[in-house]
Amino acid sequence: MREGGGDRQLLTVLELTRYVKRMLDDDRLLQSVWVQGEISNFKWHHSGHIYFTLKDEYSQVKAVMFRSYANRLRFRPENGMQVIVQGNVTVYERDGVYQLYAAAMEPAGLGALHLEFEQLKRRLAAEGLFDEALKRPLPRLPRVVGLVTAPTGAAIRDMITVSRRRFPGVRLILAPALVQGPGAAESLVRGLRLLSRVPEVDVIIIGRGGGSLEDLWAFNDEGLARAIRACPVPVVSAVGHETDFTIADFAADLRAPTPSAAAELVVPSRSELQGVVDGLRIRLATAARRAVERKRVRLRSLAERPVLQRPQGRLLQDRQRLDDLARRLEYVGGSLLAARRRELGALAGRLEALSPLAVLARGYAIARTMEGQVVKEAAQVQPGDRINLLLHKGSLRCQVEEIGEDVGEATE
Amino acid sequence: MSENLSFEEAIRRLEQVVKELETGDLPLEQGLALFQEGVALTRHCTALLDGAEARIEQLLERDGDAVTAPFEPD
Repeated sequence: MREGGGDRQLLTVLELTRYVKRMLDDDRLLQSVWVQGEISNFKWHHSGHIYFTLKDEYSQVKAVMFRSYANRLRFRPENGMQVIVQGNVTVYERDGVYQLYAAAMEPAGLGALHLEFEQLKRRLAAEGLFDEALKRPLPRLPRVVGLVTAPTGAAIRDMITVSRRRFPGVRLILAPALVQGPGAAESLVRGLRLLSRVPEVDVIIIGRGGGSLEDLWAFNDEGLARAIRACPVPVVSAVGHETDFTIADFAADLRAPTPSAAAELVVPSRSELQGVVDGLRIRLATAARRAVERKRVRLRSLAERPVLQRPQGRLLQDRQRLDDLARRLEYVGGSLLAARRRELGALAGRLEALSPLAVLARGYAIARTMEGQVVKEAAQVQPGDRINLLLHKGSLRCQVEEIGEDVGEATE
Repeated sequence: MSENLSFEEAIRRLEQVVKELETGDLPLEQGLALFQEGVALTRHCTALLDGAEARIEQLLERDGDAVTAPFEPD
């Protein structure tokens, strides 16, 4: 800037305009404003840009919408139409006037809803209500599934059908609610609160079938979003169709694209879970069989030492017993892999009969000190000590007379 | 094993039991105890899968209290 006389600054017109422009450009609010007004002086230039004036009773502002934005309009603006415009405000240097550079425009009725939605979403997001860290995992097998929706219509029917197909023994509790119109949001909140007081409800689905933006509006309620987060169990939202997003969807622990999809996500497939249990059951049997196998190998290597090759040795008997046990476990394990699901049901019982406890039934005893410690080596006790022998039926209290040098190790 | 274990808790414990049996060369008594616990857990899980009786109910407000009633979709 040039120095004028005294303490005055003399500006050129361009300098003044640029100074004002920079002030406007630096203002955060003016970088993205929402303005409602009536369209006048509307011109659709052959370049594709739109020029118009936005006015209300008391004032007006010039507005421009460039071609790239104008191409995205989903309606035809006209003079006299009430609209909501979103854009930034800056100065048009040539004319020295400020203008609204529009990026989006909607008819005011619908636009107002849209604006309300965007603002609520932004506010709740800033508050942290939609944070990923708040999302809770769904239970693998819910005892009871709560539903908050209308008691009639496709949504409830679809959810029941899908739930029954996936898990025939499913338990559902419906909290009937209004899903559109006046009082719907309050009704949905009441349904959530009622269900969260039912002790066995482990997860809740809240939703409705498809409809217009206005039909789904109850799900864009701040109170409902907070009630979802305050719910003690995970909440799955299922509002409308795949493409509809509501505030409830952002607040929920999980968003399902439709009510049927919500039931798919929440209700486990019974056969899948049975498969998981069966898989673990097979691994359990195999692990038990291998554990016996390891002991058997150890026993055999001991038995093969020449000094132990006497028929009267207890060792030989032990080996036979263990071989027998292992053979039977192997048999069970082998048939397990081939067996079908129904046969697996009876398996746990059979395995139990073959468990090492059954060894006691064949004459083994487990020696324990009076403190309950298992006696594995003769050195653990002294002559005169009292020990407990656990038999198949009952137990014996004994006193140690003498410590022998028998091959006791192998009986472990 | 508690009868009140949820399916998740039971499955998680069963996985742990199987892993311990698979990896460790445990003394007989300990392996035995694990094995028995595993068998009981598989039974419990299967009971949870089979036990539930299908039921669809609705909550109704009566005098400020929530009561359940059978629900039949139309």
